[in-house]
Amino acid sequence: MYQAILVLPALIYLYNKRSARILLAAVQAILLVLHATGFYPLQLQQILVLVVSLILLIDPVSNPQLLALVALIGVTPLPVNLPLVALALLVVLALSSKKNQGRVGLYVIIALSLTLILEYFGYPFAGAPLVLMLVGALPFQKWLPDMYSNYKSAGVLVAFTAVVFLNENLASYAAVAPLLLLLGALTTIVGVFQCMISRRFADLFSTIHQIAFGLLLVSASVKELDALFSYLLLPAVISLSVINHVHDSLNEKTGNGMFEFGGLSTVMRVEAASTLATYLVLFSLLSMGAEVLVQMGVEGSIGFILLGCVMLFAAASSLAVFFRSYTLVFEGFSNSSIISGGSQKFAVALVSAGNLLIALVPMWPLLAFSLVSGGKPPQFEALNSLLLIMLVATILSVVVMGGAKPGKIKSWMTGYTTVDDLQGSRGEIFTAWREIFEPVYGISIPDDGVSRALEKTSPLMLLALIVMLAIIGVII
Amino acid sequence: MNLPILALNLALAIIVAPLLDGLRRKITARLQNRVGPPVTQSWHDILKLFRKETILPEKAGFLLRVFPALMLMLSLAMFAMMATVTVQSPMEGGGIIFIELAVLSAFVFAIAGSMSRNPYGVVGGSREVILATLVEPSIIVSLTALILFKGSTTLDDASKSLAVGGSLIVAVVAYLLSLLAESGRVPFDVAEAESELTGGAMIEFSGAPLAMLKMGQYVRSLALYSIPKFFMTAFIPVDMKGDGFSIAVVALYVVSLLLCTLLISLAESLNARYRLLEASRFYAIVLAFSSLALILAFFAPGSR
Repeated sequence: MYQAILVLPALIYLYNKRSARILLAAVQAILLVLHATGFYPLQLQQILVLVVSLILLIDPVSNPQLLALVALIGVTPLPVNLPLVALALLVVLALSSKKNQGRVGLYVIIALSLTLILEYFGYPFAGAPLVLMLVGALPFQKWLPDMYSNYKSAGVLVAFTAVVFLNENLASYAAVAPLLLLLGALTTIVGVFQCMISRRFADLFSTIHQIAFGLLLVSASVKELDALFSYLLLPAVISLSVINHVHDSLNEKTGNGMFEFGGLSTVMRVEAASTLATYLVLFSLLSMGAEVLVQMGVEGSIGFILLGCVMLFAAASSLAVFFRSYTLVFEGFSNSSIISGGSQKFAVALVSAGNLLIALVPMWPLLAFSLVSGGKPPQFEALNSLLLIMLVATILSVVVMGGAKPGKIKSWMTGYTTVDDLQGSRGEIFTAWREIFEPVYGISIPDDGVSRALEKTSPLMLLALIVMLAIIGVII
Repeated sequence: MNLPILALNLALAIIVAPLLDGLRRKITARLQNRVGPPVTQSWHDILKLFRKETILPEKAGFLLRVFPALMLMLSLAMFAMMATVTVQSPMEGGGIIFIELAVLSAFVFAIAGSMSRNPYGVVGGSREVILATLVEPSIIVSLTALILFKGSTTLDDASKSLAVGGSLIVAVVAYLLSLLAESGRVPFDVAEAESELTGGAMIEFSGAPLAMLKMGQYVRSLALYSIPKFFMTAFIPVDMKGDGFSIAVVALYVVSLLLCTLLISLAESLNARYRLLEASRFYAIVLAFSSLALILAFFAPGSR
């Protein structure tokens, strides 16, 4: 029933995109109302998908609604309506091949269809194609930056929904949980090294999303980490996506790069402080995950210890990502300029305050849990100590240094060489990012030749082949 | 939280950290057949800087002034959660938070340098971040191996007694190697090119902010040097009963600090500087060794 209603807008999309969008939004709103009134109860991931999809539909221009719709229909696990869903997917498949994101879209559809088919046949690990796509396995790695670079992209939506789905149906995937853990850790590490060599903000956002989803995948696959997944990491990733989205949208509108992450300047102090605070809060959240895993490892398996180490490294690297985004601005890859008008400054202050608020969102579920369950939130030792230490240290630093005015302010830059000149004469530092990290990242990139060969293959043929293999597997 | 011990710990950090740096400089000088500065030289430098005028670059923002103090406070927080001259630690926390604070202070230092907008500051900060990203995995893995032996993440001597074994020795050696890399001295830095290498991040600082940055670095090093103390009871039998001040614990702590200082000085004197890419290979070897220590620690009898 749920998918049947949603297929209608997909069909209308063939003739009129605007009508399809309005109809889809209306259907989703009605479904949410029905859920709220108790007439049509929905699962958690369905509600999340509906809400995210509604947000996506607001943007009338560049939104890949089509792919969002595919994710919406495909990921929601209702194998009873398989023929109907398959029909919708085929319709969308035909459409998406004409789009500029067509190739990614086709692979998204292949992975989703396969997930549904394998689930229908009762395979123990139906989500494998989806997971492989999320971690950038062949042939998906070629489109990974595009998939993760934007909050609106289909990859982010699918990945987000997929991990929620995995977490909800963890019992079905228990046999392959170690594989999921491994893939999650691999995704995180690959993301970390990729961030070191990124030269564009789109790449950087992509790697941030990739790191976050790697961590989500890790925590979604372990039953003991359920509280961490639901109450901290998931809200943190949503916050991160929303912050990126806000920055990205404003940046597109202003067109001068001033809203890009890390665009610290002496004029935009509030923006700078809120950006920094956002990273520090995210760093704390990742650290908490690491602490839980190490603690579990000390009491149990070495696997958790290793994962804890990976997570700690990811936390450390989140700060490196921040530094990288800052130096990207400084090195001139982005033309960050300073705003002038009073109204613009006010807008920046508002956005900055919003950023800070969103960064603190991950704390809210903990508070809500605390209220609902009578003041007993999940215990995360690092949350209390680390955040407290950072808060006290920052306030004390501001108080101490705020009172101490500098004796002189001088322009010491005169006579110094520019960064570009330094880059030419002392290449060691500036080339080091790539020289050191590219070979490490290169290890995880499979041969491009295979990717090229797959690119030449018709996706429809590939889909048919995979489905046939799946059916043969079931028969055997 | 035990406030008297906490106050004692913080006072100890502020007094001892520059002295330990002075001792390192003295030992290094003697190893190179030089007289070297007095042990108290780093203290004199800090006091002199506090008396000097603070001059900031024109384009620098407010955060440039705040970050040195923040770096010092994070380093002090690292030190505050350890049991140094006492059996029990004065503040709640543990090995994981210790690592996180170490990472955080390194990045605060790097970002502070870059905020000056001086190209040398950016270069120094960039180098600092590269080194931190490369060395942190080793510190994380080797410290986790030691945590497995302790069977707890707390940084005190009140947990179970440790047994000497090959695996524990490997874990301690792995940590010391990581410490060598973390210290940022030769073979990863040279005094003659301080402003172009790891000191580059400090190029635009002067007066009190510079003193705070330097003090932050000293305290951070002191905290990292203090870790081996918790595992020395396996090699030097000391009575760890009670939770207050103990002469035996103080003696153990002093031995730990002296050993670490000597190790860093020896490495500084006996090696030439590495280029950054050579250093990255060294870090890879240290990480491999630390991983081996972790695996051995997991399967060693008596760990966890």
